[in-house]
Amino acid sequence: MPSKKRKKFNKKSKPRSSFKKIIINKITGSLLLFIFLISSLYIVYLDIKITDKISGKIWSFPSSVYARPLELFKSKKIGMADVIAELKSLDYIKVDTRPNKPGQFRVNNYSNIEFVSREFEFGEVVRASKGVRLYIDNAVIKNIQELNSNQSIAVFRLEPIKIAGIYPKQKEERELIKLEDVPDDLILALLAVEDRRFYNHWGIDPISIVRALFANIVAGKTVQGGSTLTQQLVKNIFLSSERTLIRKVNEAIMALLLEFHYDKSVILETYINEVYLGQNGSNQIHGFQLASHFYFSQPLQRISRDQMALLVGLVKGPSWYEPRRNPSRSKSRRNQVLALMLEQGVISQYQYNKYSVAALGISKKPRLSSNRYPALMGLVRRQLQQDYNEDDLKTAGLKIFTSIDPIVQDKAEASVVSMIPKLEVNKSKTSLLQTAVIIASSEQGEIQALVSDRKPKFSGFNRSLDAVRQIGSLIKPAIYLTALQQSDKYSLASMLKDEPLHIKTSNDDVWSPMNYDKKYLGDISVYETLKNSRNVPTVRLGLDIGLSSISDSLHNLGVTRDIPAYPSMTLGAFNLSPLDVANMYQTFAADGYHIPLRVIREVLDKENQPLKRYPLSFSKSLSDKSVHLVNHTLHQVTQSGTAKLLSKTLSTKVAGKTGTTDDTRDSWFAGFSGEHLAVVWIGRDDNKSTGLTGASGALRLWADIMQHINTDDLSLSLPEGVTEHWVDMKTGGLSDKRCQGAVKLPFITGTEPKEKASCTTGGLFNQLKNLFK
Amino acid sequence: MYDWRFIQSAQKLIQVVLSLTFIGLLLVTSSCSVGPSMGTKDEQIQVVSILPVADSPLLPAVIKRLMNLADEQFNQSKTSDSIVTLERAIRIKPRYPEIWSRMAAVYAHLGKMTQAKQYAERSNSYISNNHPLKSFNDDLINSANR
Repeated sequence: MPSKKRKKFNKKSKPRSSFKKIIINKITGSLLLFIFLISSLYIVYLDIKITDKISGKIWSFPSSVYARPLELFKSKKIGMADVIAELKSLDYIKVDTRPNKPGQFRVNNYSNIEFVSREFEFGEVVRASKGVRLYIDNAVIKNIQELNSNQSIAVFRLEPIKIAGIYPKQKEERELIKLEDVPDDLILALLAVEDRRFYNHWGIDPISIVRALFANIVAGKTVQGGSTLTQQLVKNIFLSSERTLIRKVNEAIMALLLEFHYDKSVILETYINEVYLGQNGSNQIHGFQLASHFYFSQPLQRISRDQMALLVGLVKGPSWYEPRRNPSRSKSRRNQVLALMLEQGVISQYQYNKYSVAALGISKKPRLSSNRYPALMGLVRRQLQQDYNEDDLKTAGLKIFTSIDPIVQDKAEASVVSMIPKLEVNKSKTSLLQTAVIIASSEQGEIQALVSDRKPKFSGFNRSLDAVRQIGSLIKPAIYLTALQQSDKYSLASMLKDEPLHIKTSNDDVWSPMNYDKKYLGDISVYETLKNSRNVPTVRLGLDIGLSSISDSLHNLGVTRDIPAYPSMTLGAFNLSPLDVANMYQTFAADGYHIPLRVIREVLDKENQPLKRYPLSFSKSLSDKSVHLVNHTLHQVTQSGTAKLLSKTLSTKVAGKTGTTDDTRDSWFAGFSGEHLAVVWIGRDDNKSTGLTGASGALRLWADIMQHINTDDLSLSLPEGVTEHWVDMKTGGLSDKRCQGAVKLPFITGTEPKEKASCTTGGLFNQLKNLFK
Repeated sequence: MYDWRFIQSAQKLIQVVLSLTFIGLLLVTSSCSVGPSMGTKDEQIQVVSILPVADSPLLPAVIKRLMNLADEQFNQSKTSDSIVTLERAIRIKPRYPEIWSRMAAVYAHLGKMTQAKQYAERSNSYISNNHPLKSFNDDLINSANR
């Protein structure tokens, strides 16, 4: 029975079993087909991922922002200390012998400096490396010579300092190098250490894997890796560094695909530019070219074999073998690499002996360039955002050349740091004083320096650009310019009334402007009113010429904001930022030419091709004659007017105007020399009183900055159609230089006073004094 | 057979249309390049050539060097480089009228007469009425005004 049953069972089970087998076979077949299909799709997906990345944009390149290149020429005003500071900022190395490598300098004595510049690609020309000797005496360049031939050089342009980078979130930095420019010895060393059979495998190397496995078993720990360069590249670009089987499988498949699609030279070049070799603050150093600059301040082509060995050794562990932090560990690793190079026949025994005892030769760590001048960078970014999108700025590797002058900027920052605490008259308000400083070139409107905080390195509210405050008497030159443009009605000798004034406002209030000294002087000339910043006659004049005319003049001077047309605007009761004020005074500094202030000169793409140039542009809507009359008076402001402090503290001829607002909330000074325009604001963020007038606050900081930067005298040469005459200040009539109270003033020809004033000579002393005016 | 002939005719038609388009494009391009602007350009080159060379003993060596470099760049048809070099000179010594005039001449050559006029006026603002550059600047301003 059981057998029968079994038989029966067997009889029945036979077809079942074969059916089952068929089903299992079918399922297995389908499953295998499914797996095959999925795997194929996955491989196709990986393939697309690889080709997309390698053939397209592999890396993001941060944009670099450069300062102005320092121009050196005979008669330039610059101190030896400034030249040395510039070279140090460029990471030049001081040497004791005659410099013979790019990036070296020597100070022979305090009048002679020698250096070898690095090659630099400017937009319009490649400036080759050159040896230069500078002779400086009394902060003036006396001669420039070529180092070897001693031939005089008319002008030499140093490479510009990189002052900032504009980075994507992950701060990767790299400098691309083509494979043909990579020294053969570096390639040989790299292959000797990382992948000896690079030219013999297809992406993965079973022989290396077995060899590494054997070595690791023998050592009882991981001492050797079996990854090829191709696998390492795949891991660096596409995969994470986690140690999982799936990651390893992906790495192997992708390495094979990479080798299938691309030539060995493409893979090697990509590896050399991709490999991570260190960290500079939060910035990652990628690629051998940048690493060479970072560790040795030299391009890859100029470093020695032992230095190449050090870089190759870093691949294993950039942090562990970091040569600045761990010199002995780094040296030991370098010597391991040298030993492998010897073993592979890359270097001889003699060379090994020589290199393995050589010093590491590491240069000083380059400065972090990303946060050197945060407020200035705020301005640069705003101007860039008008032409470039944020993504391009962070990834396209643009080279942005600016007019920023680190020498001027550093001196302005130093003045702010030292002067602001001294100006805190009321110590209970200590640390509440804030400041903004803008310095530009007088004739070209190029911004050279910008400070927006009493702590200049603090990156916060950008007061130079965004603090809009009442400007007080800084408005006055615009009012007098408007009046003097009506030359048939007003000249500097025209008389105004300094008497009480009451104005009914639109809401039936009465506004009674006051002079700062609360006094009235009666009849006073236009010249004296502006020089001494008298309020009441200025309001009278402003109302006479018309508020809309003043507003028009302000716009012609470069102010772009809307100006309110109410009487108190004649005393500057409206808000402008320091940048607006700088735009306005720039037009005075440039003899009536309005030059919109700019900070960017040129933008190049990654391949150094010009993308956009920002040429000097200007317009003229103001008479140079009227501007000259105002500038003459603004110079007198600094000699005997509200800013006469400058006649004692500065040896340079300058012009400018003080500004103070109600309850001394804002202290301003805006002025210019022949070379620089500078605007200084001091105030509090809570808009409370500072206890400082324009003269006791901003003017003192302005003077300190101007004392420290090298600047040229203001030029006040008479334009065509302007003549000078002696005028009696009491009556405004023509006078003689021997007469008491006579002042020499410029007039637009035909507008000089017709009537003669009576003359009192005032004695021999007065006559002698006027004789020298 | 019919189809083949049809394809041949279509091909011929396409060839004719393409040839006509090409000829049309050639005509349009040539009319752009040999039109009135060519005459203007000749005048502009003449304007540049009458400008005194930068060998005045009064000019500092640095300005002479940069102006000569700008001339070299100009002669190699690198006008934008020439402008960059002249701007360099202006930054170094802004009050030399020779540089502003040279810049005016380069802009005139480029047909940018508004800028040319502005630079010529700026040059005039640094010189007296009897300066040798005055007549050059005035000629340029007058031609810009025309």
